[in-house]
Amino acid sequence: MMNDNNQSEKIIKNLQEDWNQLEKLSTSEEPSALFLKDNLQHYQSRKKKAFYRELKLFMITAIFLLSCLSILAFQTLYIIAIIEVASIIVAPIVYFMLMRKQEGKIFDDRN
Amino acid sequence: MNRKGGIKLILENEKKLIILAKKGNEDAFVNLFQLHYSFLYKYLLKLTLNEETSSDLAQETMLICYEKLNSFNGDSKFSTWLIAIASRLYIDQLRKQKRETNWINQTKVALSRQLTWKAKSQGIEWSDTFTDFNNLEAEFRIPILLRHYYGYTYEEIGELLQIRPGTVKSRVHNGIKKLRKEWTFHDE
Repeated sequence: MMNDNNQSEKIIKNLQEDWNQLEKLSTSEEPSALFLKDNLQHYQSRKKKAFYRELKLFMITAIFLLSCLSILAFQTLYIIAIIEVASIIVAPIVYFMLMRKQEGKIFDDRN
Repeated sequence: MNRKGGIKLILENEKKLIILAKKGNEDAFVNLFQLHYSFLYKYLLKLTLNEETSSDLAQETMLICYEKLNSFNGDSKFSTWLIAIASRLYIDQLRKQKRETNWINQTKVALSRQLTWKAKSQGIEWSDTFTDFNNLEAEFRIPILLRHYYGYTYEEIGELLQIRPGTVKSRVHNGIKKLRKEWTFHDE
């Protein structure tokens, strides 16, 4: 157990020394304010473009769905109207035919 | 001015810059980022061992930081917040690389040519542990680095990486255990 702890400590010490050496090696200069600002603006314009593209897609989908729904609604109204007109015309005929049938039946019964 | 006073002044300046940046002042944000660039870059360099990748990741971190600045509530240091974003970005990048390359091949991190050359020219030698450490998976490397170099607590690392402190502790412990195994192997 003690040996494990000693080993761990040694490992951590070695790593810390290596990381310190690595820090000393890095020579990267901090980017200029102009460069960073330019990057930010470029990113913002890219985001703006992406936003408008998504907005366009959203609008197109929304319009498509709305028009589909309204067409369907109008068609439904049309179908209801046809059914109503048809029933206005067909219902008296059916009624008349049923009456005739009923009358025929009565005559047959009397005979 | 003593050191304590200097740090206080820097922190006050940082606070002012954060307030201004949150209001949309780009110059303030750029100044704020420049203040922490070196710290962030060196942290990423220890993970990637590549100057170019570290610089790219630092730039990406800046953009995410700019976008999410309003969510920074000042509970932690700004540098800690940057490190949290950078760590998650690095992990995401590794995952992407793993998906793009063969998933069986583990992504290994090695010192870039440029850094190897620089180290050689300055007579720097790396310990065997350093190579073994860089061969560990990122899930072990990040907590070990944050704990044993930057001195963060397990709770802080947990918050940074959005995992439980217990998980952080076991990852640090298991990572070092793996290194110990390699150490014994080298000794034999």
